[in-house]
Amino acid sequence: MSDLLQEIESSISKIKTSAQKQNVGVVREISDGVAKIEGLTDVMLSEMIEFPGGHYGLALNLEETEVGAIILGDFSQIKEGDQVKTTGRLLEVPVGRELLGRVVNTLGVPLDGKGPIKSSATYPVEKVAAGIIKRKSVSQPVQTGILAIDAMIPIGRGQRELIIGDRSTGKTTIAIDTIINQARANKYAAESGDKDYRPLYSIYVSVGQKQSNLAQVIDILDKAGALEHTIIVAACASDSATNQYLAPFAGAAMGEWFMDNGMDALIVFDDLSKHAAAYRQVSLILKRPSGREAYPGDVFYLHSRLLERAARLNEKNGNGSMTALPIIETQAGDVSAYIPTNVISITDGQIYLETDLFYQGIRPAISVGLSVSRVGSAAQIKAMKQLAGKIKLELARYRELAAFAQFGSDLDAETKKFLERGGRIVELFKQRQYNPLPVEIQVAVLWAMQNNYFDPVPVIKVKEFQTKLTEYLQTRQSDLLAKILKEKQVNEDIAKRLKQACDDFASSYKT
Amino acid sequence: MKIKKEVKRFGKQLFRACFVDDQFDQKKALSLIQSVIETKPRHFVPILTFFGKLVRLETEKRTATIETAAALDKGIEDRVRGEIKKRYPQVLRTQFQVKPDALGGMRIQVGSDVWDGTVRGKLDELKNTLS
Repeated sequence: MSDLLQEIESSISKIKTSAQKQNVGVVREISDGVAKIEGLTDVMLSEMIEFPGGHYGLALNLEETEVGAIILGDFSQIKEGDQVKTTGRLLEVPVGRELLGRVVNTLGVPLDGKGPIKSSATYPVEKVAAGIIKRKSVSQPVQTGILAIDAMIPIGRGQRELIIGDRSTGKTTIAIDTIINQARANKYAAESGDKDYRPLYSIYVSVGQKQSNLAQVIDILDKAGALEHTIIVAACASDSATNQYLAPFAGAAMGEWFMDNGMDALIVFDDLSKHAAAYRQVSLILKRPSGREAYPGDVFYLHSRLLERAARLNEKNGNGSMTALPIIETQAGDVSAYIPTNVISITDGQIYLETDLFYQGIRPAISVGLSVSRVGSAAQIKAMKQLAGKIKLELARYRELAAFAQFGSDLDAETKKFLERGGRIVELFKQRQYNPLPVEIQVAVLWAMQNNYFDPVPVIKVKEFQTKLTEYLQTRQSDLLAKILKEKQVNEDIAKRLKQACDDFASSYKT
Repeated sequence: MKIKKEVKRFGKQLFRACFVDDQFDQKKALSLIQSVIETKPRHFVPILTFFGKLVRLETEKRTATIETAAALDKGIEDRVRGEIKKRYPQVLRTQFQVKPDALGGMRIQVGSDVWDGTVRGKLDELKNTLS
């Protein structure tokens, strides 16, 4: 009790008793989460403004006679005539490891009922991206666990790779699989004591999604044991446009903490189309001039300044990285629309998902022809480079020939053989959702494909053969897999052992 | 949007025309208002409304409001007036108001700048700090 009294007296004594100058204003208009304020002559752009009742807003429009501010949180209590004051601060969110495993809102307030978050630091939501000198080129891989991506559209740490496609084509699934795979790799490295492995922490920013969808994602991550390596930032459909507009920036701030402290982070923005729509709403209510499709003129800058914060830093600046996987939803496959083209021009490649492929049963429905990674094989381990180098070309030739074969003309034996091989490759790249493949399994399976072990297998049995081969390798050849993981390349010894293992398996396999 | 721009532009022109030697001339303002009412240009009502808003904001900038819990004696009032004039030379009007809920001390507002030395203000600050 006496400690408590001392604490109170100490708090009271610290309070400054001299009158401090404040800059105030009066709310003249309030509607849809935006307040028009008279006064506030000293306010700065993006400064936090304090409203009565402990609410805060951000000053976004500085006009001659009034200030337009967006309100963070519940704006129903704010009314005309309320006095507001400047705080001299920028909007900051809590950052740090304490947020891992937690679901928070845009301001970092926990939503999961697991108690308050005692974070050691705060970072500003709006921050200028790292300069050119601080950066290093992307050379470390992000293993998504999706064979098609890791083989043909490899993603590196510090890269921005866009996931784009129509609704229900598997965009979020790709992101979730990536997060699950990172968590598994983190756990495996921790258990095996691999000091060279750099853990990758994930941040999933949900913008404008249904709460039921987000609950499902959280459940999947929890069941896969990935939630403890992930921060979830939620600004769902029922949240205000302000919260939806700020959520990706808050998530980026949380990721930047990892990057600035020499660690690696992966951030998923799901999705930026809804983010642009929320920004459009905020801008229109602020009476900013509208441009194409009613978006404000700076909608490109909205996404460019967000995505530029994903980077790989050089050793002098901690060697950390933040990889961004923004998601964009197209309408009827139109990648030439306004927001999709904006984000495509910003990112370092895209993974394009097609509805047609999805309904043909090719899942993940990745269009290999339209998807690209501008970082390329610099983000692949040597083993993958050795094995997957020609697959994209083979698939391109296969697609050409398959279109030609539809005309029903007689084909020579070599063409038929090539078509069958292409069909097997397509079948091999199909993968169940939430089932990422470890990189050593991917290497082994691709080696088997490239060395024709799949050729005797009918196309419809390819997945079964792959599954059984995987089981065989995991149960009988775990030391070989560990060696592949450690050495990250297929040298003579590993090739010999793989040949032995595949020969043994093939001889015992019965269709 | 187009109408609003014209209204603002005309209103600002009207407002600037009321200044003589950087001082707001009340007589000139009244005569300008009268001539606008007589000539009735397009959107004159919104123009005059916007003009009124600019005059109000300018008046607030040049007015110092001092709130105290009890009435001050003339000596203190003159001293306060002098200090405000030193810091804010543009202030033309000083008004003293008695607000018992201030409990004690003084609150000075000039335009958007507020110096809150009232007991009420300190109690509110303490409440925010402890919460």
